[in-house]
Amino acid sequence: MAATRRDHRDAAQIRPLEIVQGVLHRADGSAQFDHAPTAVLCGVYGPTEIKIRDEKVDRATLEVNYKPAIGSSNTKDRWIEYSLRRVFEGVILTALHPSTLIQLNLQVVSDHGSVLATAFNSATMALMDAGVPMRTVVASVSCAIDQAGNVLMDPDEEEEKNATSCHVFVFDAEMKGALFTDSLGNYTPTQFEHCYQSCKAGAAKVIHFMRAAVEAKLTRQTQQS
Amino acid sequence: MAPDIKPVVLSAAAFEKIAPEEFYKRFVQNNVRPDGRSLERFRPTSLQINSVTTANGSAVVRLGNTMVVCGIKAEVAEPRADAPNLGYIVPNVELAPICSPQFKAGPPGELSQAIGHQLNRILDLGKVLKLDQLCIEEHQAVWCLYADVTCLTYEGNILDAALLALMAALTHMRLPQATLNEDTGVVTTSLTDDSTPLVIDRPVYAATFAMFPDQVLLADPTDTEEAIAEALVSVVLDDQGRQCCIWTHGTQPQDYTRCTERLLTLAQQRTTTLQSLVTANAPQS
Repeated sequence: MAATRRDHRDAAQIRPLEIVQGVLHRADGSAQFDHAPTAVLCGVYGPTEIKIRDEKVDRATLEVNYKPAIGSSNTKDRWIEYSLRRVFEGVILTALHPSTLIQLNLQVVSDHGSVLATAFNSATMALMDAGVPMRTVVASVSCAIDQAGNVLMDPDEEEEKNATSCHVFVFDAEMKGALFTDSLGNYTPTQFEHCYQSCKAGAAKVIHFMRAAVEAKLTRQTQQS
Repeated sequence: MAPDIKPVVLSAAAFEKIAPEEFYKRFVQNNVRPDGRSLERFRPTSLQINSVTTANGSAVVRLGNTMVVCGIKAEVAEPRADAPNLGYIVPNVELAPICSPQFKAGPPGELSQAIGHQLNRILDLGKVLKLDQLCIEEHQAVWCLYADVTCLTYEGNILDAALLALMAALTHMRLPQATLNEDTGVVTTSLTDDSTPLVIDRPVYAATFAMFPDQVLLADPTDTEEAIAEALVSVVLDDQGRQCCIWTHGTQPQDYTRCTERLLTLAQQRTTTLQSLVTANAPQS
């Protein structure tokens, strides 16, 4: 029997997704991505002017600023910024905009678990909204393994706290493989393989949802003009 | 008459600067790396324990040209109200300009904070040791261990070096005997010969690999290899060979199902080597 979760989901069920693009007026591109109730807002500036110290003559510099929902940022948030920067430096075609700055600003609106995955998804949608050229679109899903060995997709904060291991994966749109993985806890190779495959399937659904959101937005725009 | 076209001859150093990817490709095709190592070979690793006499525990790790010092300083602190019998371990990584020109002076940079936090996560979520052994008196006083990892020379793979130094320092450190005076509320400490070492439930060691095209694995990458790799994979295993952490990040998508087996075998061998290095290096007391 599948374990009943606090919010009555199936073990493999992702929370309801919601995307709003272009929420910020002054940013070049923005998006809010919800794995309701977790929500992350992202604003993108760029390509824009860069400080000489950070300039790279053959490509754009990527800067990530991540602000948590509560309190001031600490080393945990630097770790998240580092993770996001590593992934998006490979995804954005930085060579097209040498000597410029692309700035990703993330603000967690509400944190109820799986916030890193939501941040990745939010950043992808904001970059798409800003029209920053990318090699591929990425999507992220996380899962947790509970004490009984069940793999719970898109865990909330309680499930993350009680888990024996937590896993976050970022996949590209063609599902060639993972750009980022973070698996921590105590687990077996079989469990890792299972999490990898489950999150791959989950990421495919997220990509599908992102495509639908962009299509809907474009349809609206063409009808208005 | 057509002029003679002379082929451009580049020195190896210039070739490496201009086209690092191509430079490495030529080496990797011949199963060797520019520093003479085979692809899956780690750099010579050495360990020296408790050479910093002012610290409660310390370790110096050399991983090829990457050298780190970990010093652990124990201080008495107040426990959190929601966890009255748990102490603290605060790992901190310092990458100052002294170790490499790529780091700037001033407040800690992104990489040092990210690695410091990764160490913290491994200790905490990997359940490496129980924090209740740092309790002096419930609700009143606990030990706070400041584990400062300072890098002296940086040539890549800071996570492996930092985690090894941290594990070695924790394994061989001695906590002073501490007693709380109930009347005055003052903790007095004394370092005696019978002070007990920490109990490490789950010693963990990291093995980092750089992923090159066609899923070629380069063990223990240098900073040049890290910069041009498609992805970096850090596998952390405990002494029983169970997985504690897999952390990968990179610029190209990788299908890890195709290479996990190889990664785990190599990481397993590495963990055994490091575990014996830490236990063999017990300091004379």
